[in-house]
Amino acid sequence: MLANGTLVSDTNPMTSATRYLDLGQCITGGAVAAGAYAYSPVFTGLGFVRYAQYFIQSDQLGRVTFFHEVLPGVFCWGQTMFNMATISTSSWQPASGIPSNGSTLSTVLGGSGKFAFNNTAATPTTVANVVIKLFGG
Amino acid sequence: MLLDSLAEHGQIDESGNIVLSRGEDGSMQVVPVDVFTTFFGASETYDELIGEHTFTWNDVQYTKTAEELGYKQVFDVWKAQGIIN
Repeated sequence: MLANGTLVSDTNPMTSATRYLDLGQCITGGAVAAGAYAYSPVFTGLGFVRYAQYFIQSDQLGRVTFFHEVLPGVFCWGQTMFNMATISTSSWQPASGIPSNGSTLSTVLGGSGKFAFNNTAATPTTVANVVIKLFGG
Repeated sequence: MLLDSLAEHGQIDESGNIVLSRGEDGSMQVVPVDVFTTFFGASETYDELIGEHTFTWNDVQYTKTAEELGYKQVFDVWKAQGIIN
């Protein structure tokens, strides 16, 4: 069962997973106002996921939080799944603090959900790209 | 009340957040009401909203305009749609 993203490879070299799914630029690029949340479209059939990797590109320093929301309105992985103190400019950043507990993720991502980028800075943040890869087993 | 006007125009989502923009693909940008109130207080009109606001955010005090917070374009749209005067 795959989400409505792109199946990039049958094998993820970083884990023992047998597939990984690239959700693409699931959060539209552009300026995110101070304190605001930029939500991705809803993804369905996320299935079994045992590892996730996030990449973002931003134009300024800021503090951001990623989380996954299982509909309707229930936040999982915690609202500080990914909370960087700073973002480097113009470079791809692998997320830190990614949960690696497969059992937790497989429970969370069993259905539909969406992802959000929360700009917790007091200035707008321009997000060029937010790519989320989900690695299944 | 600004929140009443936003609700009448469908700018409050199912979680009670203020909708700032919507994309054709279902993406959207929202801000929680308490965060919005922190920045803009009891401002109701366009002129009040786009002016300078002094607030405390993450234990730091700031004085910023709506443009510096990234909200001016939103308020321009709201004014054009008759949500605010």
